[in-house]
Amino acid sequence: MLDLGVMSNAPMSRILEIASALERRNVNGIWISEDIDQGSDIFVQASIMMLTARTKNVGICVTNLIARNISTIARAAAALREIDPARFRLSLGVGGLQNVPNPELTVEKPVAMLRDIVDALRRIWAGETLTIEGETIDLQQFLARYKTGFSIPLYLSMRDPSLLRPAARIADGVILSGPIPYLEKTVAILRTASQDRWSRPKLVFWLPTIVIQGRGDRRLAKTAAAAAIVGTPPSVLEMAEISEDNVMRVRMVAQARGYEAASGHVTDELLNSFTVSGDARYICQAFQSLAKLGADEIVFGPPYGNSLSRSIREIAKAWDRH
Amino acid sequence: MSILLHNPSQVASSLTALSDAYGNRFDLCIGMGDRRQLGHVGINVEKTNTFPAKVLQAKRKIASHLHDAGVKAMIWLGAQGPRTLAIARSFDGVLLNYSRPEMISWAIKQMGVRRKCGLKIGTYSPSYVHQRLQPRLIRRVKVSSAIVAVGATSQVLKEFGLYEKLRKARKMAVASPTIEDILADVPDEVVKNFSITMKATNLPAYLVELRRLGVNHIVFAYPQNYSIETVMELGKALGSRFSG
Repeated sequence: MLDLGVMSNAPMSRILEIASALERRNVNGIWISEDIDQGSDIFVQASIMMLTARTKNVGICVTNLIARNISTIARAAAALREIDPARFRLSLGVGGLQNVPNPELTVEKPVAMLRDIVDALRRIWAGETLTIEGETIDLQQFLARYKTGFSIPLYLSMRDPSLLRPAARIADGVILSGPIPYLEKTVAILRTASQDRWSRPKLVFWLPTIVIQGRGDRRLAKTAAAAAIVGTPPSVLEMAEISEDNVMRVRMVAQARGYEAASGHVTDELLNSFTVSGDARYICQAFQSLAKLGADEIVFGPPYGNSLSRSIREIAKAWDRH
Repeated sequence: MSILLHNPSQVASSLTALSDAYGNRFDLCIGMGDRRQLGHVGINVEKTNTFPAKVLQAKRKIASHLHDAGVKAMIWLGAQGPRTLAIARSFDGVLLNYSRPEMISWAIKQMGVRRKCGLKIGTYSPSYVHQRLQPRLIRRVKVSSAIVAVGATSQVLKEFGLYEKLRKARKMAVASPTIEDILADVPDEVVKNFSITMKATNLPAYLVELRRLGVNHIVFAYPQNYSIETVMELGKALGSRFSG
């Protein structure tokens, strides 16, 4: 299934444009990923998306887990589910936290944290009275004051390979991003780790995608690749068998002069590893290959291309033909 | 929104998203929130004397975020205790967690503001204005009133002779996950003191009384919004008032 993707730092006009395009096209839904401390509130964005694209699935990837009280995450998610019980999915991410220059957001035990949060959310929604005094959760005789007795599909999004096995055991779904050789290996790890489960977690692949229609799009694709390279942990590069030497120059220039300047050092090989970019037909073929790897959903975008609406239209049409 | 539960950046980003999507037609009310419920989610508010400084700091940060984002919104203070009421003049308006005219009058005196200072004064109370009484909603309004009463400061309760009457309920509330568990120990008079519960025919006189005190904004809170029917009953009561 094909989804659209958007970052929470996108202006509201873009969110509304994507919501409107989403409703018109034959795509499954949308995933919104949170940029820590940037842009609008992701829960409000999701509610606007659900009310605008009334027949499509909406998922959000919340990365700022520490700055939010668990009861607030549970309640906001419950409110979104109330709009339509069948369309909302929640993903929790710790992938970006290690890179945030804020000591208050540092996660020392991400596996334990994710496990505790997933467990607590499920129990809150089930209507249990909870007392938990953990490293990141403090609830004292807490009982949700809204109608409970439901569940919400819980996904985990991460890039750290050490989180893959625990995620496979506890999550309803896993959102993966990273170089394509890395994705191939993670699928095998996830399958092995979840083989004891009654149903395996859903797999969602999300790579920067750019429909190339002109020189500007190619430059945009290389800039997106530079950003993806900078955000990729060394352990992921190692699994993807990409040498640190190959990406070092991109990282150094990005740090000193920004992603656009670093894009000049992105080789074609790196571009193809870190993004899905080309014409609509090529991108859909690449998506088909990812589906064959085991992806249940593939997220298209961002940055899409210089023309958002045209890129979405062309990909949706090409996807229909496939 | 409770500034102890949401940081200024989160509050501002929520309002920015709504305003960007639907225009500048949102107001914001910030306050401490229900202290009992805050305790259940791990936020200890034993010491409230630092709260006024915290809420003022949060207000400034939120206003700055909203200004940078080009969002125009009134920022109200949700207030009940004397310390918080004393900082009301730093806001565009104040929403008082009271309904009884004597209590509202007392709260306005605590703010130390003159009648025409530009500060908007409103009330936010559990409400049940009805034409045809539904007993199950009386229970709901009692639950909502009890939440306000049990969460009130000792000073406020002593001022209005409710401290001793609510002592047992307040003690039990600390360990009870829901207010329903302690409802038997909450005297019925909390409904009179902390909610707008009355027949629709009595509403006009009540509104005149509040207007006389300087109140120009009234929020009829849960369970008035329990159903379309209960909202319509309020609408009719207000309609007859204004058309008359």
